[in-house]
Amino acid sequence: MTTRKLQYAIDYIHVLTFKDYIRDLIAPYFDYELLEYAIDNENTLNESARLIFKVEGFGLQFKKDGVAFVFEGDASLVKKSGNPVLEMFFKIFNDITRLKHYSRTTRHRMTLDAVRFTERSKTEELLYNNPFIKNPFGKLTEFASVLIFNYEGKEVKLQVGNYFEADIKKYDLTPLKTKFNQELFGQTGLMAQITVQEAISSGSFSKFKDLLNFSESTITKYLESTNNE
Amino acid sequence: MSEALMRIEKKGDISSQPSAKETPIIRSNNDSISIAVSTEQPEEIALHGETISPKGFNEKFSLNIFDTQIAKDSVFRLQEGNYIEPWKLVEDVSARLIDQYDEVVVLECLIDPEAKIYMETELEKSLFDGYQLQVGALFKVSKYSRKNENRFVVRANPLLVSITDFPKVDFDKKYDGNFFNPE
Repeated sequence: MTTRKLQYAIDYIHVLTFKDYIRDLIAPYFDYELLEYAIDNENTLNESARLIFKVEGFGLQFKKDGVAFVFEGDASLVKKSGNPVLEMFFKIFNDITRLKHYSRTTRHRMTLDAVRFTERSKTEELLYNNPFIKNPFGKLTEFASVLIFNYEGKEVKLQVGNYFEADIKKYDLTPLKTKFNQELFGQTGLMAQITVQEAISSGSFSKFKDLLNFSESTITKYLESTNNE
Repeated sequence: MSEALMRIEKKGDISSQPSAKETPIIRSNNDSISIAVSTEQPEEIALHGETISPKGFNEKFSLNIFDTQIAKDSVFRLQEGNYIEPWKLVEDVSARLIDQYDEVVVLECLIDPEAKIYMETELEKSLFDGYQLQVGALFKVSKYSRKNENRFVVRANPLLVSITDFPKVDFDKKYDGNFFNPE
């Protein structure tokens, strides 16, 4: 399975004065090449900011109740410390936590989409031989199994099913239209989407990395258990 | 992939057929697994004394990458019909000036903010034209790459670098010449 898209968010108690500070916090980065930005809900309680680094495959968002990013590309680029855009994300998050009216961090969450290319017939084998699911309905055009569970303080929702090109649009797999995800077109295979959330009192790169490793290993473990990895 | 096409069992009404919006769900709690079809937005799922709130699962990430403005007009911007490969930001390092001599500026670079790993590096003085070269001055050193090319940009905006990132007065390692060079 190859991770195709990664979404990560850190939530915190609403910062009521957020709109008074967010522009100051993101302004220093406007000197960076090719940065695109947007301010949403201007001059309201819900004012938020977006920074888009298309070439690097990142979209960042900063809101009064949380920060989030979407990354489309090779996951190995965000696993090691030093990714420049990820550093900006955590620097701005840390700046937010130092705001006068910042209360506390509540949780972080991740949604990860992964795809493995296989022949259609092999994908269907998963349906017919999946030890977790008995299918009494015969041949299906689409299917997925969904597992929801708690594990070591993490709440997990895992979906595994077949992959078709139509899933690119359905799951918005390539929002930044990166070169990395162009190979998704015209393929069939298996697709997994995992969402994990965990209560935390502070956010950091290492906690992000732990959640990413957990998400990827959970998908791998599931597929191994079905003899499909 | 569809969430709603296979029915295993419906809680409370096994005989009825699932609707198009019903989702087969397997729930596992370390040592047990249960299977059920739920409606699309369950309020709360209780499992062996634990509670799984689906709230977070249903809070969709809704990052819109459109309707944006360009922060900085740049000659490096990829225009429509322009087939030059854009530069990609591959490194962005906080640095503190610790020495300078001849045409060289010596920097203490924070290469791993999480692990607090620093390296000493030397850059050409010409990269710092227009900046005050005082010991202790803070810089951001960015490396951009594209096929067969690298480009360095030094920024002196103090808001990009935190002085608290540089508490040390000595240095871990002498720069070995590889950090800013292509492998």
